[in-house]
Formats: sequence, structure tokens, C-alpha cells
Amino acid sequence: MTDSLAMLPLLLEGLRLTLQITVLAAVLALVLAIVAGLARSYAPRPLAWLAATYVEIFRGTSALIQLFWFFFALPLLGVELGAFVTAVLVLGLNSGAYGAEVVRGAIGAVPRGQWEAATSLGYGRLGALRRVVFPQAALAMVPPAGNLAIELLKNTALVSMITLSDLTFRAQILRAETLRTVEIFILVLVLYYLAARFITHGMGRLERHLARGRDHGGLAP
Amino acid sequence: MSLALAFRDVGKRFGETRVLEAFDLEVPSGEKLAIIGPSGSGKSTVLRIAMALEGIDTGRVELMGETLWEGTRRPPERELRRLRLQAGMVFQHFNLFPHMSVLENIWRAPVDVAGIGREEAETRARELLSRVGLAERAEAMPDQLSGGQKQRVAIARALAMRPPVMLFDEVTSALDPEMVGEVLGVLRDLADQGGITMLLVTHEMQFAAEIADRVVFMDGGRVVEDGPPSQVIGAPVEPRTRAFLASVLRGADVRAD
Ligand SMILES: Nc1ncnc2c1ncn2[C@@H]1O[C@H](COP(=O)(O)OP(=O)(O)OP(=O)(O)O)[C@@H](O)[C@H]1O
Ligand SMILES: [Mg+2]
Repeated sequence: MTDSLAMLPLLLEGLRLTLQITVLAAVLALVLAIVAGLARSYAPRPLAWLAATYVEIFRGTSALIQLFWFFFALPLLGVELGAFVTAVLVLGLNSGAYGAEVVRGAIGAVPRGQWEAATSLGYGRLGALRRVVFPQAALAMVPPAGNLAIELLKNTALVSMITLSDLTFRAQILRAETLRTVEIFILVLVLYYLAARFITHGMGRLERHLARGRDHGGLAP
Repeated sequence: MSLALAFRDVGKRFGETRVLEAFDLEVPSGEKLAIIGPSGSGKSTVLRIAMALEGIDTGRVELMGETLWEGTRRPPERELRRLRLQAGMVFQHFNLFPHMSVLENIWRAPVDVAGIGREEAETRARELLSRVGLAERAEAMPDQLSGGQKQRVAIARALAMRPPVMLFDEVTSALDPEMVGEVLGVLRDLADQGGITMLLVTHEMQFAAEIADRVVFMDGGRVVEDGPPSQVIGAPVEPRTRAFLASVLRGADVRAD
């Protein structure tokens, strides 16, 4: 038992990298999701098309292949990003593509009457979106965004395939050295689980904060 | 007398459905006009066109002396926004902003759209709230209000932009019967106070007869009968108006929605 606890610092070192990548990729994904989600519905043609193409490509191919492509193929075309930047960029792009659909769906679900009320008060499209529609849609986005964040956390295990020493990678190394497979992977499962719980908890708080004073979660009646 | 609103030979269709045909209507400034008619006759469409939520296909619409719509030509967005300030609308289903307090629902647009200072806008919002009898609910969220209270807030919200023309689209139709009175009371005060041009689409014949200067009966996208309440509601000339009023009276306690 004391021996398995001795492995913990190494694993925690890996967890730190896992969390770093998760957080940075999540920030990138959030920005991309909002920009691409809005662009698909409200930007002029070429931009809307660009956003749609981005979403389709990153949802339609596997995250592992995307990582490999950016890490192994891109340098052959003269662009070398390094493993860490590649990990954050690819996982952020991947997650952002799913997030864009969440944003688009949530905005589309705000009743037309909300747009019309804002318009009749003199708001333009952008003002109505920013002040009236988006804040309501944001509440509806939180639960699916929480799921995406947990997906993202789990997806970070893939970065061990491009030389990064994340939690999964450390576990593999320790296993090779000590052969104590069962204990190591129980520890790893617990660590991932705790990180996921942390995300769920944070999203719950965010949702309650956004929903303050309102009976029905999400959208206007 | 100047006109607040004028529809001139307006045609409007949704796909194959002709909603308005050769529709003519002039509303002098300050008039209280009630619009009645069967479901689907185009009453809401008239208000939505006046609010610039909907365009037209043929003819011309003028709001406060300016051309709002002319044929299918759509004015630039900036122009539309400026013209929309001339009208305010209250909807059947309130459409309050559920993420803002009652007070913010009222002061928000004056600050964002009209550029009024936050403090002044809030003071005005509180005045309007007491006018509709809800001063003590300023900090409540819309979800915490009854239907009648929501609709009174919606009226205050539209008034906060001080539009010369107010459009009311069946504002009591979604309410429980016991709440209709409080909303009609607010409308009555507004009408008594004068100064504002009011277009009211309503199924409340008694109320229309009481506060309107003039009543228009619409059917099939046209004005069928037009005159003082004593005529259109009291003693209609047109057979279709009579048939409609008879059906409304028969169903008087089965409230039409
Ligand atoms: N956005 C739309 N798309 C297609 N058809 C529409 C649309 N809006 C209205 N219509 C049709 O236009 C006609 C007139 O509608 P409108 O809402 O103006 O009638 P109304 O007199 O207000 O009826 P009600 O008393 O039921 O509210 C109806 O046949 C309706 O189905
Ligand atoms: Mg209607």
C-alpha cells in the first residue's frame, strides 16, 4: 500500500499536464464554439460556410487522426508546433466544433417572440442577440457544455500518443517499470473521475448562477 | 389632422396565402382604434407590419408621416430601427425578458437603444411601474408574476420608449378571466390620458365599444366595416359584421383566443 502511494506523485505530475491541456483547450473551444456557432446562423455567406466546413471536418473525423495529422503531417508541410501546442490546438478545435452546434441549437431554441420584443423596442440584430437572446441561450448551453468538457478531459488521454507525459502516459510508464497494473489503473481511474466530478460541480454552480430567479431552466416560455 | 399611420392599397401574402388585399386604413394621430375580426383575418399582420416586424408585397405604409414600406423594397436596417422608435408593441404572450428583473425589463431598452442615463431610466421605469400598479414588484423576476402582472409590465416596457403609436395585439387573450380586468384597466387609463395613438386588436367587444373612438371590422384581409363603436359594434350595417358579432356574443363566455 505504501508503495502504491509512492507512485502517486508521479501520477499527479501527469494529472497536472492533463488538466493544463484540458483547461487551455476548453478556453479555445469556448471561443471557437461561440464564434462558429454564431457565424453559422448570423454571418454573411462566406463566413457561415467557413464555420460550417470547420464544424463538419472536426466532427466528422477522429480526434486521434487529427492529432496525428497536426503532429506528424503538418511539420512535413513546414509548420512545426510542438507537442503541447498541438495538443491544445487540436483538442480545442475538436471540442469547439461540437460546441458550435450546442451554441447554434441553444440560440435557435430561444422563442421568436424574444427577438420580436427586442426588435420592437428598437434593438438591432446584434443588440437583440447580445442583450436578450444570448443570455437566455447561455443557460441552455451549460449542461451540454459540461458534457463536452468531460469528453474533452477524457480525450486528453490521446495526447500520450504524441509524446506528452500526461496522466495516461505516466501510468503506462509506471506499469512498464513496476508491472503493478491493477493498482496503477485504479489510481488513474480515480484521478480522472475526480477531475470529471470537479467539472460537473463547477457547471452545476454556473447553471444555478445563471438561472437565479427563474423557475424553468433554460428558455423563455 | 396629421396621420399616425396609413396603409395604402397594401397587399401581403405568406407563400400562397393572401393575408391582406387592397387593404386601406388611415389612423389620425391620437386616435384609439379597435380592430376586430375573425381568426385569420389579418389583424395581427396589420400590427406586425406597422411595427416593421413584417414587410409587405404591394402598396405603401406610412408611420408618423414617413414611408415605412413601399412595395417589396426593404429599407436599410438602420432606417428600419429609426422608424421602429415611432411605435411600440404589446404581444399576446407578453414576451418579457425572463433573465431580467421587472425593473430592468423596463429600463434596459431606454438605456441601450435611446441612450438615456441608467439613473434617469430607472426613475422613469419606477414611475411607469406605479402607473400600472406594480411599484412593489420592481425587483421580482418575470417568472414570479401572474399573467396579468406580466402583461402590465409588458405595457410599461413598451411605454418606456415613449413611442407616439402603441400597438396592442390581443393583450388579454392569454390571461385567466380574473386577470383581464386589471390589464383593461391599465389600457383604459392610457386611453383616458390621451396623446398616444392606440391600435387595439381585441375580442373584448364591450371594452372596445367603451374606449375606442373608432372600430374597424376586418375579414379576409380587408376592411369590411369602419365607423364609430356605436355603429360597428352597436348596429352593424354589413352582414359579415353582424354574423361575426353574433358568433362572438354566442360564445361570450367561451372566451375566444
Ligand atoms: N409567418 C407566417 N407564415 C405563414 N402564414 C402566416 C404567417 N403569419 C400569419 N400567417 C397567416 O396569415 C393569416 C392571417 O394571420 P393573422 O395572424 O394576421 O390573423 P389574425 O386576424 O391576427 O388571427 P387571430 O385572431 O387568430 O390572431 C392566417 O391565415 C395565418 O395563418
Ligand atoms: Mg392575431
